[in-house]
Amino acid sequence: MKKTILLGMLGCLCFAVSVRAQLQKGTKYVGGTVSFSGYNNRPNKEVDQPTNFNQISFNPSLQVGSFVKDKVMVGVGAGAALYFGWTKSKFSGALPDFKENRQTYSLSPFIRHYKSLSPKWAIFLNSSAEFLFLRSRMNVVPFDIIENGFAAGIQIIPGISYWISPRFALESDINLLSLSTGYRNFQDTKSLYFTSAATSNLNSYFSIRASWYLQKP
Amino acid sequence: MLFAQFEDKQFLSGSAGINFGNTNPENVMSTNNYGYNFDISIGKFKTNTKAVGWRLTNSLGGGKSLYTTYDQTGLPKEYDKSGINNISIGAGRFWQFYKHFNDKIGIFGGPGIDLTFSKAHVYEVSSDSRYISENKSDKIQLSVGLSAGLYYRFSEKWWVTGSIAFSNPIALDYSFLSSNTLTDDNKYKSHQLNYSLSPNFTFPSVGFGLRYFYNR
Repeated sequence: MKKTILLGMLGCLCFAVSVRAQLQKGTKYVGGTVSFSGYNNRPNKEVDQPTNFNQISFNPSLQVGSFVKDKVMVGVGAGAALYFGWTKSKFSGALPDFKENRQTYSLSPFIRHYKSLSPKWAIFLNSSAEFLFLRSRMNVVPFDIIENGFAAGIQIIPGISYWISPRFALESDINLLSLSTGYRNFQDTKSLYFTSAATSNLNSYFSIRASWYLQKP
Repeated sequence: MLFAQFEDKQFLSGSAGINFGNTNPENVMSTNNYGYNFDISIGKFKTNTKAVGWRLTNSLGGGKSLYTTYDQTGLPKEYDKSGINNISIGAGRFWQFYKHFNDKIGIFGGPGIDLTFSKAHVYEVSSDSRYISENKSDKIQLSVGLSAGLYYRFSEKWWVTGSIAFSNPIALDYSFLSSNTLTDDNKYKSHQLNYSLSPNFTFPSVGFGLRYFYNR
């Protein structure tokens, strides 16, 4: 009889601590990632009409959220994809310098459902609504062409988290398994899109994000 | 349960990967690509779950590439540029962290830093399909990469390994480029600095290898 009660209590204890501290209601979340790339091309000295070509792309993103109940987080993400390209010619009779930039700014409120796999691993499903502002600018004297557009859609993407310490985790959205759909209006084209990894050109299958899970003290 | 102790054991590893690809876009040109990469490394386990070492890498790639240009009268001219089109050699240092599941199987992963020298040439048809140009590049690159793999220990001194993913989060390279259209000999030479920080994983190829534990 004592054994049964003892085992029963142990069983209840297991249930009670099955939600890890990091995924409990009230935990706050901050996550972010950044990537950039670019190049600078300079012609050799012997080229008689030298033009320098330069390009840089920069993509930061930040998410903040809070667990509204155990294993469910609600939050908002903000991100940007910025591209700048420019040329410089330093010889007489050169065509005017060309400057181009493309910017995408996004705001995406999301809800994320977690499933804990072990003390250090968890998987999640991220469902978000995305609102994007798109802008492109091409500047070659005397022309300066600016175009603005927008897009809105929803996206579902699974992911995985690994806790390196109780407050810090590395997470990855598995772009390979994402689904998104929406409407885009930019550069005189209006389009409805539905993409999954099978139909879109992915340059990365998993993107990594640094995240902090901050419990109430 | 005491797993095999690896601390202070030294090893020689070799691994090779091959990749194939085929692209068949709507217009005339279709390409088949093939390539291999091969590396040998020497390392030592500092603790039961951490190994460090040096590696030499080598890769080669080529393809079957056919291009067509059209002159003013619309007459097509075909170019067969099939064959090897890139080659690289490099050296680097790696750190690997292990998780041994049992006496036979485990996974490992970790960073490495590599200095690589590569040569490539790529052909390009102009947007009006009138000219074909050849773009050669000699590149020297310093990169930080991440790789992961799994191993199977089939005897006391031998492992079989497979690499399952890798990424190049940080890369910096300096290239010497030369570009000319094939119809004239006017070369446009330039030099270029490329840089990137991109924390993501891709699966470009799977490699398999062998590891031999020597001495002790």
